[in-house]
Amino acid sequence: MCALSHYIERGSEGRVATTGVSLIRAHPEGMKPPRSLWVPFPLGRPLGSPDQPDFQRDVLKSALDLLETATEPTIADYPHDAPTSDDDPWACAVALAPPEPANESEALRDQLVEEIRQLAPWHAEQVKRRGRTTIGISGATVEQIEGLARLLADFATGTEPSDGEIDWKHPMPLRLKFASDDLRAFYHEAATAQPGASYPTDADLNDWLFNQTLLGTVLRQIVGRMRESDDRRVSGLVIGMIPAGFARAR
Amino acid sequence: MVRTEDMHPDMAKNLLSLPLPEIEPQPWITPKPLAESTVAIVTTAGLHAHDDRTFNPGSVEYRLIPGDIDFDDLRMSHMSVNFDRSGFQQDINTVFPLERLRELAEQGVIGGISRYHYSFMGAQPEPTRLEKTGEEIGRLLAEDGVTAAFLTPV
Repeated sequence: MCALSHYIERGSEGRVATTGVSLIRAHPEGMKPPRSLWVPFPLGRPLGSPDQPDFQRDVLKSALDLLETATEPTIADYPHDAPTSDDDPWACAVALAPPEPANESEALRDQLVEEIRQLAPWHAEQVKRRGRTTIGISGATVEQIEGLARLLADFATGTEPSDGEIDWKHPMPLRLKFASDDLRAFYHEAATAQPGASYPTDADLNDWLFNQTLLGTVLRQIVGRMRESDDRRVSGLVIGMIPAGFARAR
Repeated sequence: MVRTEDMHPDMAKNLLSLPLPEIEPQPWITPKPLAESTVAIVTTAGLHAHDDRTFNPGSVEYRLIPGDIDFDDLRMSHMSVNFDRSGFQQDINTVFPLERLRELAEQGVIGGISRYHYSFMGAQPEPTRLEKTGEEIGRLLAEDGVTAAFLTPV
C-alpha cells in the first residue's frame, strides 16, 4: 500500500495526490508515503466496522483531510476504536455437533453436506436480507456449494478427485484454496445471518469454524496432507488455507 | 483496539518482517482543495468483479472496478487468510467505502468521484514489484482527470 502511494504519484507526474489508511503503523513509518492515517482496527476492517456508515465516513474524511493539512510526509493517528457491540459474546445459534470425520470420501462428503444443509436456511436468509453473497471465487455458485464438499472430501481422504458440475476457475491445487475460501464464506455468511446477541468478530468466527464444525476438522486434515506433499505448489499453499493460530484443534 | 502486539505471534511476526524498501520520494504534490478534488479508491484487498480474473499467488496485477459496479458483483480473492473477511461479507464499505465516498460527494465535501477504481492484492513480499503497475495506475487516474487517490489496505 505504501509503495503504491509512491508509484501512483510518480506515474501521475504530479497530478494525483495520494492519501490512505494504514493498519500496521510500522509500514508507513518505514516507507514514508506522503499521507497516511493509522487506524487501530482489526486487519480486514480498514474502515472500522460493518454497518456503521457514520463511523466509516469519519474515517474516510479523516484520511482525505490530510490532503488539505499535510505539507510533508505525515502519519496521523485516528483517535477512535472501531465500534463494537456491548451485548453478550457471540455464539452460533445452530448447534452443529460435528461427527468424527469418516475415512471414506463418499461418507465424508455426506457428512459435510449434512452440515452445509443445516446452515443453508440461514445462508438463504442472509442473501435475502443483504441482497448479495461473496461466494463465487472458486467458480461455484451458491446452488453448487455442496459440490465443494465433494472436492474437499476427496482430497482429505486421498481420493482421486471426481468430476462434478462446477465450472472451476482454477486447476489444482489452487482450486482447493478458493473452494475452501468459498465454503468458509458460506459458513460465515450463514452464521452472521442468525439473530444473536452480537455480531461475531473474526476471532469468534474462526474459533467456531475451526473448533466447532466438521468443515474445520476437514480443512485441518487437508492442510496436513498439503504439508506432506512433495509438490511445492501444494505445500506452499498451506499458508493460504487456515488462519494463524487455528492449524491445531483447541 | 487491535495492534500488532495483540495479534497471534505468527501473524505479527510475518507482518513486521515484510520488507520496507526505501523508495525515492517524489516532489511534494500540493493537492487541490477537497471540494474541487475528484477522488478514486485504490485497494489492496484483492477485490474484483465476479466475472473478472481472481488474484493468484504473487500477482502484482490490478483489476478495474467501475464506479457504477453493483456491490453484489464484487468478490475478494486475496491469497492471505490472516485478516477478517466477515466485515466485508456483511458490508462491503468496511473494505471498499464507495457508498461513503458517494455521500461525501453529495454533501459537497469532495468535488467528484472517479469513473474507475483499482484493486491490487496486498501482503506483497516484494513491494517494489508493484512499481510498473502502480505507475500505470497513476497515469490512468491522471489521464481520467482524477486528482486524489484514497488508498486502503485490508
